Amino acid sequence: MTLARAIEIVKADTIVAPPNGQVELSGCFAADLMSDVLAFARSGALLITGLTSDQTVRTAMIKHLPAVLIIEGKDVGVEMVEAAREQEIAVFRTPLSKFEACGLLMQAGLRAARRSGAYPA
Amino acid sequence: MDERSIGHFEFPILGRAYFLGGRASTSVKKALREAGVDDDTVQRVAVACYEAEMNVVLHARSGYVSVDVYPSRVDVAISDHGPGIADVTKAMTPGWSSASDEARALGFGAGMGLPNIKQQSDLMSLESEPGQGVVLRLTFYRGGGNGAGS
Amino acid sequence: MAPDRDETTVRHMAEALGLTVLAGSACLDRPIHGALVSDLLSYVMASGRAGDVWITIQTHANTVAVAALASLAAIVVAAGFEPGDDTLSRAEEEEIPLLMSSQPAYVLAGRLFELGVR
Repeated sequence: MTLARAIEIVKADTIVAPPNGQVELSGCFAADLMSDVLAFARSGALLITGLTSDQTVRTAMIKHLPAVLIIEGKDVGVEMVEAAREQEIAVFRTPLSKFEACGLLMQAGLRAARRSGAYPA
Repeated sequence: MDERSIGHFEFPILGRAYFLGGRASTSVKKALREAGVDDDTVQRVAVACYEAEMNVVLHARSGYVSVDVYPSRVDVAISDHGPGIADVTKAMTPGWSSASDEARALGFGAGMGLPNIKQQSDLMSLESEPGQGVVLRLTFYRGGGNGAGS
Repeated sequence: MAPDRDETTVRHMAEALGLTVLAGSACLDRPIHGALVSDLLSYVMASGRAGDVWITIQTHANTVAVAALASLAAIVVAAGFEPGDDTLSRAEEEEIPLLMSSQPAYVLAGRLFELGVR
């Protein structure tokens, strides 16, 4: 699924546009804990999160996630916007809850982008 | 282990500067890429550095990350001045955390940091002097390694 | 709108999504009124509504306390994370069904949505 299509499905507005036009998503990863994203997200995924900090953007950059979808119309601060521009990460915002956004995207066929596995004992 | 370092970088980390957390790690990532290190290794180093950097930001007064690139590996040391870790074994337990609510609100402090770092790296050593600080040394073998970054 | 039918219960969800029941098995006939996906306890404290299912990777015993305070229908721990004994006994005590799955939160949310939960 393209990023543009996913964004349309969740009725999101663009806060920081993707730097290079058409992006094909590898899947979707929903999380609020950046440690979870750092450990388990697959590259190329859309990150759905309720965490609006510049850490969100830096985590996306480190994990090669092209875009972040902020839920519930939360305020996105200047620092996060600046970090996103600097790191070339697209940021979108949907009025939907994380549950609804996941539901609609799964229904539309966007796969999960979570690496399996747990922590070493 | 007697190879010569072919690249050395250092970046400072400010304790309590939540809004800057992650800057050092994104700089490390860029520097390693420019040094021609393979993507998988860069990814693993960046993830481990980010977790370690957030540990410094959340718990210590200041610190720095130092990176040495060798033909076959990347060595990283993250040192800080701070309270240290009272019980290293406990700190390594997934889910255990001494982080504040502030840290948790940033999406960290869920007790996944050190386990994540261990998972990403090939060798890890953690030395802590309570009241002084922590030195975390990591080695990542280039091209191959544990594949955790894929 | 979903067609008129029996309300989805925690038991129905557990069967449809292949969840493992870890605690609170006496309370599985609770109806589900909604769902939320979050790993931030403070968010759930603020936004959880009675009868919601909470999908999370948090396994701390505090999650049960939060769920009980907000009268949630159940907690589903995603992605193969395993709550410890203290969390399990807290769930029994507070009568909060605690379930788990190896599936990611994203997938569990998608499948619960498919069941008509909104």
